[in-house]
Amino acid sequence: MTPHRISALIGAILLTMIPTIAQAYSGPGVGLGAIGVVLGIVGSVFLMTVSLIWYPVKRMVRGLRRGPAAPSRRRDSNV
Amino acid sequence: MTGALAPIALLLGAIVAAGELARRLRIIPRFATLADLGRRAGDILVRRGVSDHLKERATRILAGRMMASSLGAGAVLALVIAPVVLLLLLDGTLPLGVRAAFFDWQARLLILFVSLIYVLARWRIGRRRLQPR
Repeated sequence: MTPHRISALIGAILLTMIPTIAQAYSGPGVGLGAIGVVLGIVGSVFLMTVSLIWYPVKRMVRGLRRGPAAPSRRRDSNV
Repeated sequence: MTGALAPIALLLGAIVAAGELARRLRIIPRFATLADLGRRAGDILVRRGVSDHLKERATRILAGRMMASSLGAGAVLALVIAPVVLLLLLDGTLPLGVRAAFFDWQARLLILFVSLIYVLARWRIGRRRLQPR
């Protein structure tokens, strides 16, 4: 742990000891809603990662394992 | 007991406005749609017998829909809580006594009871309107 991180951690701990009202209360409805929104955004980023990275990489690895083959021709391509 | 009733009335008004906004903007169906999209995405990811190409396309489409749905739900949530937040912010510049009422347990209890009565009455009225004539 670097000295910067240690001092930041100590500062954060000291901040929690200040006995004033945080005025950061959110009710259960808003809290759950905010958690739902955050989970939705994280889930959509995960799905986007899966669709943009995982499946193309999988396809590429599969293609490499098959070895240098003839360029694939799609049956439905009309170009 | 709770000091002046004006801050409590203001808070109640803001809470009623937030409730009406939640009804009008249909916040709960939005979150239900978001949960449904997540369930569908999970189903697609674990489904067997579907080509990777189709899964890739489906997850891409679902990711876009999920992002749009999440941002929409977040925006609606922010709009719904806006009256209460604005009132509390306004109390920072003008001393209305709303924050004091917000943190006074007796005032809170009063607000809780009146809000519950309002919600129950509103729910009954909403149900009556939904019934066929």
